[in-house]
Amino acid sequence: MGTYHTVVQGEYVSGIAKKYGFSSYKKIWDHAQNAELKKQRQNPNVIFPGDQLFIPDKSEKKESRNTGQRHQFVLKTEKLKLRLVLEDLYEKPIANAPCELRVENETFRLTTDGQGKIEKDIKAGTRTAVLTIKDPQTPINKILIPIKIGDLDPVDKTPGQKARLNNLGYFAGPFDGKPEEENKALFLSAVEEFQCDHGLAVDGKCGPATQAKLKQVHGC
Amino acid sequence: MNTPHNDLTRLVSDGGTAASHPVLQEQGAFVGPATGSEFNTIKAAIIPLACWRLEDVRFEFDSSIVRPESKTELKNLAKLLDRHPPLSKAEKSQPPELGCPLSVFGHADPTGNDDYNKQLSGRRAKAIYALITRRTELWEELFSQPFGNDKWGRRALEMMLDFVSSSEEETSQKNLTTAENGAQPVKANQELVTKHERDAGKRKALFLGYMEKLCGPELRLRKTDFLGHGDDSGGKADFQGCSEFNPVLIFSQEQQKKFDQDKDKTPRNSANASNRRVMVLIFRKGSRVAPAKWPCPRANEGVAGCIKRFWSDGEKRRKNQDKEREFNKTQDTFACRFYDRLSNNSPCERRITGEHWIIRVDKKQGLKLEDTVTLESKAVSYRSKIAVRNAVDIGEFLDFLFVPGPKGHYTITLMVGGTSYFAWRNLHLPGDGQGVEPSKFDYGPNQDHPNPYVVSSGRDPNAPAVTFNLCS
Repeated sequence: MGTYHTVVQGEYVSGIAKKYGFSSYKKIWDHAQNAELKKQRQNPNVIFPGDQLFIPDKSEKKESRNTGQRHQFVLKTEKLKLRLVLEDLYEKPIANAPCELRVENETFRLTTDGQGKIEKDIKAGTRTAVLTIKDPQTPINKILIPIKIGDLDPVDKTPGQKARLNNLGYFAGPFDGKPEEENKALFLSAVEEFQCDHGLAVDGKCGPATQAKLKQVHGC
Repeated sequence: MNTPHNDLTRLVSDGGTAASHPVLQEQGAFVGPATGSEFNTIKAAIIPLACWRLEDVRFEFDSSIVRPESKTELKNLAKLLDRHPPLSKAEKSQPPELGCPLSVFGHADPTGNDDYNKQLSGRRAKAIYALITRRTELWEELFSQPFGNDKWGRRALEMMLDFVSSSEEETSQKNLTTAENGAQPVKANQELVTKHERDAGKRKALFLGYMEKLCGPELRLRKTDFLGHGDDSGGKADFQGCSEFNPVLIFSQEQQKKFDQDKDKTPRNSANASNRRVMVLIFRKGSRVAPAKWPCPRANEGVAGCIKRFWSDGEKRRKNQDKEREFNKTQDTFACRFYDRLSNNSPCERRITGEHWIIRVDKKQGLKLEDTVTLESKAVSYRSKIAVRNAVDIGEFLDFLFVPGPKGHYTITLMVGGTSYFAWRNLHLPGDGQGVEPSKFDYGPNQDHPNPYVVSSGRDPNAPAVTFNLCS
């Protein structure tokens, strides 16, 4: 039978799966009735408000074991990670730098690897984190970077393009609820600057080629 | 409506402007979690914090010779650098800090061709860079390699000799005379000028003496105080000329036609003066650029690198259109998108509109540069923090200028030396119709103790200051 869930801002399939009592996002994402959506969005972590996600009924799983013995059942949960790559101006990775990552209420001390990458396992449904870099050589040292997990929209949507451009240091406008028109020039200049830096035709239009590059450079 | 407060963020003098950029609200990162190999890249951005502008009047006409009157603007630059210290100052603080690097941009007016203007604007940028770093060898290059009408020669030496040998009073008197009747400044001993013309060593000493007197000991920077750290011998990322690509004023087609037909070019040159400027941008602490990756070509290179960074409609932006256009109003006069993005929020290039809430704090309590005032409303998700170094110093008080947020209850807290103090709770911002009532202030336990901070608030800087007690 199943049901349809309408995606709201900040949701991602793993979080939705947990909400409905599924241990893995795959049960939902790989379901035939989500094939269209899956083809369109590709990444179950970057879905869009308004998307209709089909939630199948939970099926019973039967396992046979001998009575009179102890058996161990391990629930396999899908690992969800927060993975960030930190870079200084002009693609220089912020390598081997100590950072502090506060995920909801817990604080973790991490160090970026040689490529500036850090990753942390997070619980499905996690929404916020705060990152502080402790590398005195970079301008983003000690600055608190609030992180909203799940708020990244697909790259074929303007807010998704804006968010990626912002993350990559091409400030494309604030998310302040004001109409898109107000910061149109700023968004346009950010797209052009990105295109110029990455060898694309500079036309200010975030078309398929630009989107693909944006997704590739940003990481998702 | 008159908004004088905007002027408080800028120091304006006859020959230029010094200002801090409006503080951007904290931007967070929107990311996607990963079930596979996805990742999210967060990259530092190049963000200017402050700007300084030197007008054409401070240079000899069509030349890179810096006039003595620039002393005023250079004093303001020193003040600006107190607020946003470069490495040479910042490393002296306890604990040592990274510095805010500088980069110099020279601009020409649209008269003449792109290449000529690229060189001239580059020479002006070089002259300013050399001045504040005392790199006399760069002035020697400008002197011994004239370009077009930019010939240093005897007149530069005369001007410098005159200034170096005169007293403060004499100089200002002379300047007054010059301004009044357009006469040439009093000529120094011609033999002395010739000596300096022939002897490079003497010249170097003169340049240095002139630079010292112009800047004062306070304003003396090092190569490493600039964005490129002096790593590139051509000054890439430290100073550059933008040719005529970024005018602040573009004539209408009609005006341009009239000017072109007029044999006397004085009115045109005068109307164009605001375009011939030198801008210094001061960037976020710790910013550093590998010169090879900096998009701007060197000051002595051609325009190809500039054109790569034009807006897709850059040529259209450069053309005279049916109306006169000012960057201040239309923001579409710059052809170089890279420079446009850097300077868009610069109070030196345009009047930043938008009213501010002024939170005024008494200086007597010895607030340090890193102490902060925070205006916050959790209910409407507004939070803005401004450090003393970004406040406007108006003598007895420090004015913190906040961009007003939506209607709601606001709190003001001060962080002084690591301790947080509430200044106000349940504050309503202007336009709310609720005003600021003394009865709504939060008073601390020691009401008979003398109040340590005097704070006033509102849009009118002349509003009476309100006294209150801080409670932690």
